[in-house]
Amino acid sequence: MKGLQRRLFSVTSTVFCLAATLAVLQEVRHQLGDESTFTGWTLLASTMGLYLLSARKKWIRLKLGPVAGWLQMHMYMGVFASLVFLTHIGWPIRGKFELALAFAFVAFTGVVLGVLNRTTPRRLAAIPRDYSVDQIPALQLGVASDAHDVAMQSSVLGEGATLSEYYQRRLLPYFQSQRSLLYTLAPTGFRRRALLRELGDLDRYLGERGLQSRANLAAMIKVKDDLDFHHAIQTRLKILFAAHFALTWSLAILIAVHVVLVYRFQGAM
Amino acid sequence: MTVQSPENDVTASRPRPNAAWVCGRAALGHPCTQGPGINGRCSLLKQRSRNQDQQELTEDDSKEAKGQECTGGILSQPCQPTKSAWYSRRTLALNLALLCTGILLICMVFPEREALYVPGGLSQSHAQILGNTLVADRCSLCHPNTHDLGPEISQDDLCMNCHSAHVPDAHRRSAHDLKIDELKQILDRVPSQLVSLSPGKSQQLWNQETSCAQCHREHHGKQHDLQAITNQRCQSCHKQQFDSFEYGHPEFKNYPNAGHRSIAFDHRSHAEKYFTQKNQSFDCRQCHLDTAKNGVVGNVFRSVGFEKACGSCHSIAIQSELTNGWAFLQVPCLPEADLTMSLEFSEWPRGAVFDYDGKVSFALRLLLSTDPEMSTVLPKLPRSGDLSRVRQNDRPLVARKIAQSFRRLVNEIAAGGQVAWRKRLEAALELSLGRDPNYHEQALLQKLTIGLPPDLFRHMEQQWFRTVNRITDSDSLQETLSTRLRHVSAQLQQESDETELILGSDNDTSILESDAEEPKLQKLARLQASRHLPEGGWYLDEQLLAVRYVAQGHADPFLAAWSELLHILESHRGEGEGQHDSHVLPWRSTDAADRAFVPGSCLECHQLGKTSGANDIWANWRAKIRPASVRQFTKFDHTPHLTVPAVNDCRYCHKLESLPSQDGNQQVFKNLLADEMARSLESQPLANHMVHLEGYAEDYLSCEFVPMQRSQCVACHRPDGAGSGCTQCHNYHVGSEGFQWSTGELHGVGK
Repeated sequence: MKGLQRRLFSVTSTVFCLAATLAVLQEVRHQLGDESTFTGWTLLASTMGLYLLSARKKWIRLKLGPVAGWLQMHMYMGVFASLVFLTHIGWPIRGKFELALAFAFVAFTGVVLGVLNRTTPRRLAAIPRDYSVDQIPALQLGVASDAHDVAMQSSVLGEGATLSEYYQRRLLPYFQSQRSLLYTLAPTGFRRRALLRELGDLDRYLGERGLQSRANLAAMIKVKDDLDFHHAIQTRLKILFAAHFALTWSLAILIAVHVVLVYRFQGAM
Repeated sequence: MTVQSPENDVTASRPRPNAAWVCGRAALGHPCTQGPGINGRCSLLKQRSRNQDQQELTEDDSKEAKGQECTGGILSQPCQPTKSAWYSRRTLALNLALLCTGILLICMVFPEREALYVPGGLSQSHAQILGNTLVADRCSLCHPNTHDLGPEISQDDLCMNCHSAHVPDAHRRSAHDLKIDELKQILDRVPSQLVSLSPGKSQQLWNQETSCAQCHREHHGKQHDLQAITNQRCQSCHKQQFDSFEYGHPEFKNYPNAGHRSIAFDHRSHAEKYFTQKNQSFDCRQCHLDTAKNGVVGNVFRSVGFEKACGSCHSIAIQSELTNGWAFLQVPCLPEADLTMSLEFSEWPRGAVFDYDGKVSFALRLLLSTDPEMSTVLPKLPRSGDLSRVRQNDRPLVARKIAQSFRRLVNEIAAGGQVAWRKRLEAALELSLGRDPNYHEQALLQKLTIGLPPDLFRHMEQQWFRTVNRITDSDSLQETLSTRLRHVSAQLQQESDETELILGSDNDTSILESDAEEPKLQKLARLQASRHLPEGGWYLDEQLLAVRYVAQGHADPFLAAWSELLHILESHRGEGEGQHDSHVLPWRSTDAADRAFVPGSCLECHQLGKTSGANDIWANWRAKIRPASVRQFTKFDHTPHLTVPAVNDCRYCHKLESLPSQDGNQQVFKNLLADEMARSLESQPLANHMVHLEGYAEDYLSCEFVPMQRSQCVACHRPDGAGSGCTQCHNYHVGSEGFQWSTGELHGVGK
């Protein structure tokens, strides 16, 4: 199934399921039934469906189709479950336990993750080369080492201390240190542009070989910034995914406790 | 840039996404090919320890060595493995889950655990349940299984622990808290356009159990209105769908239904005749509005009381009628010739000796009915009880028998006092009703007995019938003689208008002495009720030889009790098995003249309904006010409506039927009468049929107001106006009592 067809199918299925759920909910209301019981069990079923993605990743020997398809089903089922969740708890959210449940429901992280999952590839595609997040620290170290060598050679080659002094003052912290948390959350090109501008301002003090060294340093600044950008974007995704994944376990526990409490207090257990 | 890409290097390590540990040199771009073990130990360190067989490396040392970085070349030295991404995620998830479980467990220990687990705050009226720190197991006050209360106790039972007074019939768990036969009655009687249940639903209706929580959803916060029920919920059974009260709601039929009026009042004649004659404005509020009180329909009442509403015009008329008192026991007159016929007539009062004459009041008729000889005599009395109007042939016998029975009655009461009086009344009532008097009737009898002065009867016996020796066997002769002398002297003094008062002393000398000491005593004028008994009471009428009772005015308890007794006997006619009821009221007492049996004409205005075992002796007399605890199907509060300028005139809703358009009203009546006749024929024996329909006709012909139209309400009650939800005008919890009020069965309409 092509991507567009798959998406269309997913959207249609989600809308259909939602409409069917609302229709049944309306009928339950008309029959003076317990709406919360209906929406609760619907929510539980859809939440268990969400856990199927994790199961699919475990069951690698079974031929259950590509993970991408499962991920898409996971996302649309997540949207469905979130809407059912809203009908289940009503608005405003009642009770501290339900609040914790809502938090642990991972809806927020899931939605953000879903959005980032769509937007991140486009942003990373702007970078000429793809980097694996595991390799980035080593690549950053290599770039830093190369930059150090270029700066040192520049003074040895008789171009004066202009580049080496500038490297010592401005570029060494840039190459040797990790970017701030703020950059990880919202990566920007401000520092890259500032450094390149400052480096360009040194041209009048440099000779031919010095200009060559400056050009090498400028290229390394760009590579380092690209690596940092990759690292920030992918780390952000990793953190969000870690939070999303980690909260699902708590969610399972809270759901179990919730079901027990509900039936205990309803007098059914 | 000299960093070598690992994917092109076959000697480089391959990614292991499922591995828990990653080589510590991976971050430097030089991971080893083997990678760390599953326990996170560097494989080089493990290999080295195996090859060199380091005996001194103990297990503890190996733990310390785990992750230690060795000195030497970068590729030949062990590294400090790091956790892989998925392993880190799993560890984080596990820790979070443990933390979450721990928090939940810790919270269960704290006494304030309810605050955490409660799924939202309770409504204002229930907030004290959780806010109350005096109770330990607060949840168990509403939730049965939380603290092992047992499966036999349901949540509804716990609700009813507190709400049984508000909704006493809710334990039935049926629609509108009604019994099955009541539900069937509704479906049979209410027009189908009002209650249109889905096919098959009507059969399920009485099999379907309801519970409190179906509609009253708790834990939605303090501001949540527990009674707010959506229109859709009502329509889950009432399947007739309509958009709103404005569009599609069934038209009113005979609303507001006046039902049975306990106080008769002709609005039309008062408005058009009496008030006009007095040049007064006919203001509804004068008789119906009491801003100091708040009733079930607001501050408007059926009546605000006689003094406020009627007294200004009617109190003088009532007072004048009662001024001379009610001669409820009058000595019958006999001719001289009859005095020798019986020993009981030998000392007949001289004032009652000339011809067969005198009136047998309703009270006397009832009291005499216990006498077995009266069974053939009383039916021969005319309605008025006038002996002179008995048929010529029967008159001597009837008069003599009544005189004999009267004589025995007086003697009995003189000897036995209130006890004998009460016994007589009880026996008479039992005889007339064919059953023991119920609680209410017993209370009536008590009211008829309270204050009855036995000395009046003793006086009658001693002075009128001259039988002092026979009734005072135990008294000394001296005392009897002196008593008789005193009474005779008093009578003589009174008759001759003597000025001296002799009563109260046996010693003439002391009287003379006291006369000398005290100032001049007043003359004793003839006893006049209007002058001597302005506040009411008993006295002997020496002129007519009668025991008279002067009422206190409106709402006199003695007259009211007699009137109600009369009403009970009237309404019981034909129902009792005994034949003696015909002795007391041998004719059909449907005309107003019979109501004059008891003075004061109480029953002209007070239309007493069915008597019941009500504790309140005045229950049938006051204007019927529905208790706040009784919920009808519809509810209405006048108070807010009277503040709206457009509708604060009562006539906006309660329009008096104008005379020319009475046909319409009568047409309504005819239709209702036809329906009622059809039902009555099925449910009642033919003997009772006409009586029942007459009552019905009386009620409906007294309908003086034009039935309201829905459009009158719709003028304000729209979704964007005063609201038009179902529960704004309708109650769900009705119960049997509310059902009876709604259908008029409780107050005697029987529809």
